[in-house]
Order: sequence, then C-alpha cells, then structure tokens
Amino acid sequence: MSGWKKKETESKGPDRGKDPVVSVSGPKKLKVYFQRLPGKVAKSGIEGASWVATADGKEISKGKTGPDGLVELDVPATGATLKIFDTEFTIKPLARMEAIQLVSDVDVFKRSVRRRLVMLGYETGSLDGALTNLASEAMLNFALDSGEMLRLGEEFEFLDSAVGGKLDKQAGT
Amino acid sequence: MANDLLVYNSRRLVLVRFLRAATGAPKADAPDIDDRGYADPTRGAIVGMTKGRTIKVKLTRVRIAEAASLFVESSDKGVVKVTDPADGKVPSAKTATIVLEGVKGGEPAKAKIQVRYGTDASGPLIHELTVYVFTPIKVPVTPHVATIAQAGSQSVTPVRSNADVEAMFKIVKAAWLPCGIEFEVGKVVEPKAPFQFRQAGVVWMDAEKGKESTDKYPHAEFKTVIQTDHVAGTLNAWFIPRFGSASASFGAGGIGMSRLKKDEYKLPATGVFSADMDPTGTTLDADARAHILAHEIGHCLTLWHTGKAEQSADKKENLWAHRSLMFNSIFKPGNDVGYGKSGTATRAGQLIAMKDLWKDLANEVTAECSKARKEASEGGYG
Repeated sequence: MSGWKKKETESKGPDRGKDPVVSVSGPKKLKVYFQRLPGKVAKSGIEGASWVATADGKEISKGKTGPDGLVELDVPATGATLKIFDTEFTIKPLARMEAIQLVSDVDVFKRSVRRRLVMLGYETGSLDGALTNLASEAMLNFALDSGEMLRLGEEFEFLDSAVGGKLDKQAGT
Repeated sequence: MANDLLVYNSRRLVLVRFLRAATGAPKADAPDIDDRGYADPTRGAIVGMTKGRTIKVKLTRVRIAEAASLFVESSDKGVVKVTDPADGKVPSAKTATIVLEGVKGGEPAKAKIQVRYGTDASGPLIHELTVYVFTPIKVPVTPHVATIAQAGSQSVTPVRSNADVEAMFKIVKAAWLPCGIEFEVGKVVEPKAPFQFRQAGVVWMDAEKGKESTDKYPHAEFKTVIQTDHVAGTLNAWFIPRFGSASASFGAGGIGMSRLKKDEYKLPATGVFSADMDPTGTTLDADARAHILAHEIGHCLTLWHTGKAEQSADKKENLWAHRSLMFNSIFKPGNDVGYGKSGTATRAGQLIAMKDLWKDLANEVTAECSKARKEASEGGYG
C-alpha cells in the first residue's frame, strides 16, 4: 500500500493506546436503529415492532418502532437488555471508538474502520485479523452507498480516499 | 443467538439477508445474487431468473433469533410466486431455503420477496429481495470440435479436442439463466479434414518470434478456424486442444469475439473458443473450462472485463471483481467467494451484474445482464 509509509505516524489524539471499550460514568443515551438495509439509507426503518428494555432486572423503557426503526434508550454504564423481534440484545455503551487514522499498531487501525462499519449496520464479522469477504464487502458497500469509489479491498484504502472521512462522520453520530 | 452490542452513539442492525443457495459451479436453480450496494438507486439485493423456471435462494438470520417467526411473500404474485414455504412461514433455523417461481417475464418484470416478522403478512417488513423475471431469449449454438494436424508432417499425430460439449454447456446454461438467456445446443459439427497448422493441436494466435511485424494478432490460423463451417444466425462455439502464442503473457484458455471485435480485428466471423489446455499445456478441469466458456460467451455478447474501474492490476484485491463472471481470470487471490477451487487455486465467481454501478464513472452500461440480453435479442452473436 503506497500510502502506508507516507502516513505512518503515531496518533497524537487522546484515544491512542486506550481501550475503546471503557464504561461511561453514568447512563448514556443510545440509539439503535432496526433497518431493512445497512447504512443511513432513507426509508429503510422497520416500523411497528414492539420492544422492552430492562436493566438490573427492572424495566427501564418500552415502545414501538416508528418509520425510522429507532429504539432510543438511556443505558446505564453496566448495560441494558433489549427484547425485540423475539430476540434479546445485550447493549453496552461504548465510551469512545479507536481514532480512525493510521497508527503503528495496524490492528488498531483495522479495528477503527471495521467498528465504524459495524455501527452503521455493515456487518464485518471479526473486528480484527485478516480481511474477510464480509469485511471487504462491508467496505465496498459503504463506499458505494456514500457515492465514493473504493477500489481496493483493504482498510488502508480509506486513508487515501474521501470514504474514511464520511465513515468517521456517519458512524460517530 | 448472542447479540452483544457495543454502541457508541448509535448503531444500525439488519436482521436477515439473502444469499446464493448453492456453492461450487453454477446451478440452474440456484442463481448468484447481486447484492452490491444499498443506497438508491441500487437499493439492496437483486436476483435474476427466467420466466417459467423455479429457483431457490437462502435466507440467513443475521441478527434475529432462530425462534422468531418470519413470513415471506411476493409483492406481486403475478410476477413471482413463493412456492416453498407454501404457507409463507419460514422454518425456525439459522438458514432457510426459499423457492421462487417466475410467473411473468419482461425486460424484466419485477417484484419483491418481502420478509416480515410474525406469522402472516401483517407483521413489520424487515427485509426485501428484488426479483427480476426475464422473458427467455433463445440462443442457438453450433458447437464445433477441432482436430489439428501439423502441416507437412505425416509422422506427427493430429490432436483432437477432448471437450465434453454437453457437460460443459450444462454449466454454461446455468451460469446464464439468471439473465433469461437460454442456449439451445445443436449437434456437434466437425470439419471434414483436420486443420493443417504450424503445430499439431495448437491454434496460434500470433506470430512466431521474429515475424511479429508481418504477422499481427490474430494470426491466420485463428481466422481460418473461426470461419470454418460457420453457421449464420447461431453462436458458433469452437472446442480446440489449445492456443499458442509467442507472448509469455498470453494465458487464454478461451476467446470470445463479438461483432464489435469482429470489425476491430477484421475477422471473417464472430464466435467463441474453448481450449482443453492453457497455452502452457496445463489441462483445465471441466468446471474451469465451462467457466471460461461462459465468460467467453459474455465477450461474444459484448461484455468486457469487470467494470472499467476494476480492470487494472491494482484492482485485483477487489472482492466485487472476483465475484464476477467477467473477471479477467477464473482464479482469484484470497478468500473463497462460493465457487470452490480448481486444484489448489480459489475460483472466481460467476455473477452476472444486474446493477449498473459504475455508469457515472466510466460512462458505460455495466448492468451486464441487460447489455448481454440486448445483444442476444439482436442476434449479434451470429
């Protein structure tokens, strides 16, 4: 990858070296969208599904999804359980995501890309390790859906394209 | 089902997806699915099929429990019907096979297979698969099997292609059915006498070393074969032992010439070629030969290698190119894309694109299916 050495720098950001899966100090407002298609695709929400959320064995909220398929929760630092579609989801708040820039630890960089894709509903399988078809497919789909062209199947391509910026922006909100 | 979710601010979840129902070489009833891209105008997965035929697709639960009730139905039963499960209720399992029947064809007729949560059509709509049902286009094929002798030598035994034409076309037909193109293969035609060429068993594509300036590609031997016993109005498919070339980079196990290429190369006829061996003399297995033949037929129907944006060498890591019938190799580096292996080499896929993804970039129609159908309907192959 030609851009690799050119951009090989240590991240100076506050997230460098920190475990991204750090508990938040208090409840965090989280949004979980149930969709027919991955990504921020218009008119893709699953409407009319009843849900109930619990934490520490107590019900904290319940409702029915609207046209955008949204379930909005105040999730304690210890997590919550969401029951919807006869399926149970254990939800934990993520305090931060890995910075999406090339650091000396390649695995951290790959994880930063894949984690953002997963947040947007593009399933990648494992966050770590060699590129799988699923992860490659997720990157290509995101790039196409974003109106960009991603020609390689590698995470590094994000560095030299407009795709990385869009991914960071979309997954961070 | 473990659904442990880490959520930063927001997270999006898709509960199920559709996949090809088979692995290995193309199967007539298990087409590949064009699921590249989700935003408008491509909008999710598309599967193609031929009117009057039945196909199956695999529904996989990604983020929903196996015990959750799911229901499938067609948005337009006049176009496509769900025949299994007949009552629409999806079995409680990680994956389920959904069988579809193409009722009404067109260019194409379209309907959606809708997946709903619950036991009937009133539940929330959780996923869709677009189905293109095509009116069949019949393409008559004239197969030719070549025997090639070494000119001027009685002592060298002529070599005849050992192709199993029927077996190869069974796979080729399966590869092209998602586009509604049906090949009707006629009786094998063999020239009355062996070709008398430079080398027994070889069709040379270009000059011997040192004669390049006077003997341009394609060489006279190729031109001789392609016009021999040509049956107008049919797709002429030649089966030869192998190609020869002075160029070390020439690795073709097949060639397909459309009417556009016929004009470009000043050829006497169109046609496709399939070789028993690659130019180095390595024998190709039956699946590989069928794959190459299906690919060359794509060329004859005016398709070129997978999207201009994906053709050059540095694009060879592109998964979508590897999934394509029109990828410029039947092998691919890296992970299996569902078509198995030839020996130890991973096989490329045989997807024929339904979506026109790169039109804005290349100013070229890349919806291969519609492009090939246009050429087939105009009879350009013959």
